[in-house]
Amino acid sequence: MLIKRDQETIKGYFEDTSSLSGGFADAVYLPENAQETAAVLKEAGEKKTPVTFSGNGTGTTGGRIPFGGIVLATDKLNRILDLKISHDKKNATLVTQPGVTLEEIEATAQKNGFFYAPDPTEQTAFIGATLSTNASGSRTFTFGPSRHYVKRIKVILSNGEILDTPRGRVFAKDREFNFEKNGKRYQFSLPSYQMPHVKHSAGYFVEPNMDLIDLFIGSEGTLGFIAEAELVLMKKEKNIMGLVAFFQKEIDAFNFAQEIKPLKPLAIEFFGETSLELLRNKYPKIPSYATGAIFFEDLFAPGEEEKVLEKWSGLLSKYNVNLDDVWMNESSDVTKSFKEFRHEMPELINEVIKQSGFSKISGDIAVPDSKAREMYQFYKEKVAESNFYYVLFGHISQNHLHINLVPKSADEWKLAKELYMKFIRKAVSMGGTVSAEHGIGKLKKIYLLELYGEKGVREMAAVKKVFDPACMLGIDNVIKKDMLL
Amino acid sequence: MDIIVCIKQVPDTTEVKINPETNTLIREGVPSIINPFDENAVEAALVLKEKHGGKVTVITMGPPQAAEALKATIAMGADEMVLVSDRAFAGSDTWATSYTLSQAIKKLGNFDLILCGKQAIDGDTAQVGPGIAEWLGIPQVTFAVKLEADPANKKVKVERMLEEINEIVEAPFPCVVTAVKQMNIPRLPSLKGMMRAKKAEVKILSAQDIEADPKNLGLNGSPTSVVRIFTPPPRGGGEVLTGEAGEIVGKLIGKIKDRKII
Repeated sequence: MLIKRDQETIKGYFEDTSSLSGGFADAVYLPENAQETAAVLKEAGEKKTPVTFSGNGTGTTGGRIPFGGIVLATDKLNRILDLKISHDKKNATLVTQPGVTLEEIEATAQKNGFFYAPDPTEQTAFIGATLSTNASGSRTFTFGPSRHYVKRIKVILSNGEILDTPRGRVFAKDREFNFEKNGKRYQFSLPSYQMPHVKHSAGYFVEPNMDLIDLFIGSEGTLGFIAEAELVLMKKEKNIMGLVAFFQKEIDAFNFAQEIKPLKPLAIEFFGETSLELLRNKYPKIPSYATGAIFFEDLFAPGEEEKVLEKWSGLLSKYNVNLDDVWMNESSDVTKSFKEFRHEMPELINEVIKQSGFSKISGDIAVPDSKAREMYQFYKEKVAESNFYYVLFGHISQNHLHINLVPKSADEWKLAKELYMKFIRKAVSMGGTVSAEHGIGKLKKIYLLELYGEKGVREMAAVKKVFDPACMLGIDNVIKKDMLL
Repeated sequence: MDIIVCIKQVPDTTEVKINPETNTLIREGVPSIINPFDENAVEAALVLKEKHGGKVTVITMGPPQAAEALKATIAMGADEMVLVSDRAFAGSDTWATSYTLSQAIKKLGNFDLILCGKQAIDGDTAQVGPGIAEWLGIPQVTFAVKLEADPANKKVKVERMLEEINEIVEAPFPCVVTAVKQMNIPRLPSLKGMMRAKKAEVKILSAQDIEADPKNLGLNGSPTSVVRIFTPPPRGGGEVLTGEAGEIVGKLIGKIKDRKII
């Protein structure tokens, strides 16, 4: 196993795509299999060394950035171990180590006539990290988040013990878990909070009678290390069309998205006026009149295509969309479509932020369907009042628009922080979530407190201590350090 | 302006697999696309049409399934499509292909300009465009990176991208211009175009329709034949040094010294 100690070599592990700085660690461990990983954790546990798990650095919340102790990096746990295809070729699962990129998972699935449905946007993310955050993407609207596609995980605890956790084996009774694993009894209560009924990735997954596997998925590396996962793949049966429609008025783009939601297209993504201004640098063919755009995808069976085209052109015409300017493509390959166009967005924003020199405040709020319009109007109103640069885009299908506030001075940064807290409180008051997909990591803990209060976070801490009694793993992720005492 | 664009349907792959027995491309399981340079040619034609009016006709020689590639250009905004298809064309080399296309073009009536991609990404010969010009006895301007038309004076002004310099030349209508990929960014199909493409009809021309001389067609009409195509053996894997950066540098310097390079 490779162990890197040279600070110059390992400093890359002290950053992700957030602006959190100042991370440090003694060493980075790069195990190549579950046994080596277990040995690292066992040794760290005995020496009481804090351990931070690291994916590919694509996170936005500082989750992988260590503040002391060691880093357990997944870069060398990078093998797909097995692809199991049923005899009738209709079902498949893929067994993988955590350090395989989504891109590789997708390529393997595609080659065999399947696809991995959750499809988080960032394709270079490691699969282990996407499970640890229960990641989602634009197609979560139709397919649900990552956890729906996990059949089994192997979790390594802070004492080096390996918990093989298949789905459907261990359930809570209401909010009480009581089970035996590897000859040891685990008995504990789940937190008492209710999760918001929206797309949600903040704090531990908790539901009455829940499956144990769901507690680990989305726990952001604070309970144990996901050393192996068996993922459910879906059969490619239909073709896909992707369309990008440009609207003269941003509000029409918003309204169009609301109208087509009940028709259940595969994905619906929104681009506000400032998003299009940024995108024009890379896509000069975006019509100059456009101040809003919707990207949506639809599945169709061979032969249905003309009918589907007519349906969409009819709906778009109602909003005065010029059908000559609606970009589209069709493919039997569901990974194609306009993925790049969609993914340019966060990257372009990051470029703007680098130029401004201040960290952005990037929102990840989702609200219930009935509150979508109220939240959109609230964003627009408040940014207009404060008059600083913002970009609004994202998963409108699930009322999950990313508002990015880009301050240009220290004063503005403070104002932006305050404004963002207003957004958080508004969302929480409407039954929304403070993080729909990015997770909490180190940077969004105060928002988690807004959502569940101190009681909820302390109840999470109690669950953490069941699996990680000495509190060694992912310190200061999700739960504030001082709340673990 | 009436513009004809010649396109080719090619396999969408960077890893071309060859059948070692027949020396032909293995196309099974590989989706087909429009040759990327030809998309640049279509885009250039559409830009000229937008500016000067007229009609864009897209033509290809190929099997019946090549109609899909033609339809994709209708979805981009082309007006008409022509598929030159006949068993007699099978096995054509660039000489026979350019002959066949030029015969078909003669049947299409008057035109001002023929646009082609610089070359196809499967064969990489870059001969068919110039071949068509020769058969038709009209000027050719290859490697176009910029193209302006002057319909009033019936000529084009073309900037050619050469290895070290760019060259600006003028040519009278009708002529053949071949496009490089730096020329433009091809547009995406539009929803309206896609709907039109579904309903549009492909005009099909056979060997008889184009009044071709049978001895110039297909494998028999091809003066060249491919003797062998092969993938060069991959290079050796090399040696990967592992360890901490300092360690690796030490090992690397040792290796360089061993070989008496330093």
